[in-house]
Amino acid sequence: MFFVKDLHHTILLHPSYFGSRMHQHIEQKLHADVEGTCSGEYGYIIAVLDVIDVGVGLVSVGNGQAEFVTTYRAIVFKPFKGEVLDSVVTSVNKMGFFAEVGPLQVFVSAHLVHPDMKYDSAAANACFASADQVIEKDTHVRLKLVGTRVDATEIFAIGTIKEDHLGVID
Amino acid sequence: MALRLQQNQAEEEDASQLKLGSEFSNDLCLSISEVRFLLELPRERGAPDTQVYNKTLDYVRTFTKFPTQESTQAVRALISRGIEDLAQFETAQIANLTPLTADEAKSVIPTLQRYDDEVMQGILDEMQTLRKFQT
Repeated sequence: MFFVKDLHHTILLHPSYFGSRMHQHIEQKLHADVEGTCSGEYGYIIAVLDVIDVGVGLVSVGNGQAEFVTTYRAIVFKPFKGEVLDSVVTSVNKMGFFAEVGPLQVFVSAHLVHPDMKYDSAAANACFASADQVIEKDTHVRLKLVGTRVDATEIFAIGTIKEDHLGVID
Repeated sequence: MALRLQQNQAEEEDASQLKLGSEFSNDLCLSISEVRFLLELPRERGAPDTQVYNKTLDYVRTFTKFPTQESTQAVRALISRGIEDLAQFETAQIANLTPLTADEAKSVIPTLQRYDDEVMQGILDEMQTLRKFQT
């Protein structure tokens, strides 16, 4: 699910940037620091919408750097267990297939594909096929997340299409 | 200890029971169409050139159900007007998945089971009409 969320980020600023263009510099650094990052708590931070407050800079003792606790509003994407999502298939192998929901990678095991759909390695593109449906690269699939795993820089999810109203969509 | 805390948190979050964890329970959920609109707004500093951003933009362009700003707003108004006490998450999920029948809606968004089939169906039919006639 996509959310609009207010978040905080601490920026350390070198004294050489203190001056008239300091605020622009802080905003620029904020965009560069947080956009495209991912954490288990907030999911993917896709884009900063606006900077609400840059805070007051506190100069730290010893090195002269100023610490700004900034508040900003961002679009974040966080996947939840049990959530139903539309996805695009990126690769198929005999163990199952991988699909993408924006930045999120989802793996659907062959066990969680409807038993009618059989893996076909003889086809030009590896695919899961039944009498009337085919799942191959670039197919759009509606899936349900059964679990997520969080790495330092990525979230990885396991999905299923073995339930009613899930599977290939047009 | 830390591991146990993490496990507890993982168990707490379950979209099928509308448990989004403490961090996200009060935040505004966006539908895919709304995200596309926000990402395509012109920016002073240009779009961020990150893999996450570009993949998201591709994704929302592929799965946008309501391509105009008017229909995006109309569908949100329609859903929240039609059903009372709907959670943010459910509103966005209905707009994203655009189920055709009340049965399908309740299957893909299990928390909707607390509502009456007829009320649901009315909203879903209106949403389909909106989709068909958007310009």
